[in-house]
Amino acid sequence: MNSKPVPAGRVRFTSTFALSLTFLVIFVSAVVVAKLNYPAEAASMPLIIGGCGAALSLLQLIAELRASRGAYEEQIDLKKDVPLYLWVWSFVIAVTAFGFVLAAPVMLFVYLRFRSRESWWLSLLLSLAVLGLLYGMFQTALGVPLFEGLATPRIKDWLTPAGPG
Amino acid sequence: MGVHVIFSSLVDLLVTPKLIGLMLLAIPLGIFFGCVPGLGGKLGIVLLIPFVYGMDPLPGAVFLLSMHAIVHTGGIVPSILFGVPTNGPEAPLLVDGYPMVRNGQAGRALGASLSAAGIGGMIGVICVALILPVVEPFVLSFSPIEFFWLAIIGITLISALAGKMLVQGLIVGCFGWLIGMIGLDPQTGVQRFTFNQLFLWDGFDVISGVLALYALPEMMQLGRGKDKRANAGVPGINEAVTQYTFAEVWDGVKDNFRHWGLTITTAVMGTFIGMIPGLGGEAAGWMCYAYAVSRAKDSERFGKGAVEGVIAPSTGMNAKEGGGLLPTLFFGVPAGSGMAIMLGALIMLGVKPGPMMIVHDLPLVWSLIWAIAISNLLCTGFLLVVGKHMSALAHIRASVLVPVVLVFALLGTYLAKDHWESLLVFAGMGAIGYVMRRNQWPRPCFIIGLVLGPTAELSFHKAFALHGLGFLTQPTSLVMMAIIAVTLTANLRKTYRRKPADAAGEARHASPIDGSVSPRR
Repeated sequence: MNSKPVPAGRVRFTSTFALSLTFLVIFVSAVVVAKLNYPAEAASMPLIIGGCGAALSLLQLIAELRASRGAYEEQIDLKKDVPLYLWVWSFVIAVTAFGFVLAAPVMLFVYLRFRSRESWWLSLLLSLAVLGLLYGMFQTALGVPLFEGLATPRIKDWLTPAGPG
Repeated sequence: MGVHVIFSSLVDLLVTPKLIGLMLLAIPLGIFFGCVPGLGGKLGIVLLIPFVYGMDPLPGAVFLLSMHAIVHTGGIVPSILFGVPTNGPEAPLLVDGYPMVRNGQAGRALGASLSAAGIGGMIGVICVALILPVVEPFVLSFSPIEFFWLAIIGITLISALAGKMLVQGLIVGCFGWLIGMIGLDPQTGVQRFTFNQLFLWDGFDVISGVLALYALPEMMQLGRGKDKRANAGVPGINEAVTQYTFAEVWDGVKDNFRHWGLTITTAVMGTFIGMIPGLGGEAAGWMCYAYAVSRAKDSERFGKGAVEGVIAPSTGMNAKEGGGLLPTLFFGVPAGSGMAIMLGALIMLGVKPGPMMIVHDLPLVWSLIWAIAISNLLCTGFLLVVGKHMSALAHIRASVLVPVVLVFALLGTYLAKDHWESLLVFAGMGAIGYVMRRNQWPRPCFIIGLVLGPTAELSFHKAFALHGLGFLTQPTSLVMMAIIAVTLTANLRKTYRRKPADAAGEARHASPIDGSVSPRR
């Protein structure tokens, strides 16, 4: 992470600025939704809290704008953060499609072998351990109903030959 | 309250194989979460959610609380031996603990600190046991007005304790409260912010929020770069510091009895600090350390390896766990962010925190109190014997730890509500949590808002139905409002007395890459 000077007088889009703006949008949207859709009794607290949150976010946004002029801005190296975050999304999508028992060991193996560059053996061992834990311990021994995925039941149906009649 | 309830809970705990087995399992897990930088007690609770899923309230709560109560004890070992506080509250131990190690007194420092933590945990539990009969009539006299203001004070204190990040703390607290409104309105039954999504109908649960705002950002932070341990500030293993004898450890244990006045006083201090909503483990540790310095005749020894500087924070930070149980269980107002997560986990297990616990669930309360005491005792004994070997846990490679923790975080997110859509929320909110972490926005305020917001709203409606808006002018309300006003004013003065540019600059550049050690959590 480096720091580089921001030219004087220029407003920079820093991560805290983005965060304050995100919160402002969330609070204002909540106020609008509550005002338009809910009866007065149900809308009262969302209006109070949303209103307070919006005012505070605006205050923070102004403070950020003033502070960012001529200040040093933190440079975030996205090359290091984005791959992990993308892996999380890939994991979520894989679990949504194929369920925990299938997706978790595969995604874990992919991370360990190709991102962490761990040995084949360790990657395989940990993935099998997670498979054993999910299928053996949670699903079979403890009877915890793990999500099967949206695609898995359809694939099963497709693979299972239709019975006579 | 019968004496038989107190002791039958203890006997049940000790003779039920399932309960004692779960406690014995919780101890190594607590040590693990304490020793590994970046994990800690809060993540520990949420990552263990899949394992308590479907359990009865008693075994589930005993398991989670036993694990949570000893996390700081586990953190003592790497903090003293390597000079790195793994999870924040252990930071005061470094001031004198690490100099003792450098002076060749590693065994004594570890013995003094671990036994102090065990004694602190026990005294904390004894204090709670003594206070409970006194608190009982007080708790039962509370009306919705008191509960409303208590929830507001809880929110305000924690946001105010965000210190220099007061505005950010309030924003995050409001965000948590707003998220807590998702689901059916308790007053009218109208769906709020559900957008016709079935998975949002019964609200947004604390576990998903904590996992999104803590697990993902912490793991992303840990997963950055190649030398992840160096990012977290953990130096390599130095075999020399673990070459100590048990006689040295025992000498450290005896230090607690040589300074018995300090040990008892700081333990009692820690218990009461634990009861105050908003004052977490860090406050307990530092305040007890400051007390030890102030009562010493030769205070210049502190910072150079004074054993009292190790004893005081250790007793304080463990004693507060017992104290924190009182407001959490009887008022539904968590004493800190860790207890807020514990509160969410207890609710998930089917426990209903509130004043009625003192009437209907007293055996459960005593079981939890005893669970803290027993786990402290067992953990201290275990670490006194094999502590130096546990220090290796601080060196588990982040490249292996990160994906495994994330797998369990996603599993916990799913199991908390049984909806796959929660996984999308985890990934989406995790991004907000990551930016918050990098800029050191106080994330605990989110959890407090999420937990206390709905309590405050429900109590507000009840108080309003009973007294109209007139409840705001009742003496209780005026006193509570005065407390809130004084706290907020004091914090605003503290924050804005400095130059605005300094405040903004400090907020932005206050070492966002600090590994797992965050000054305010």
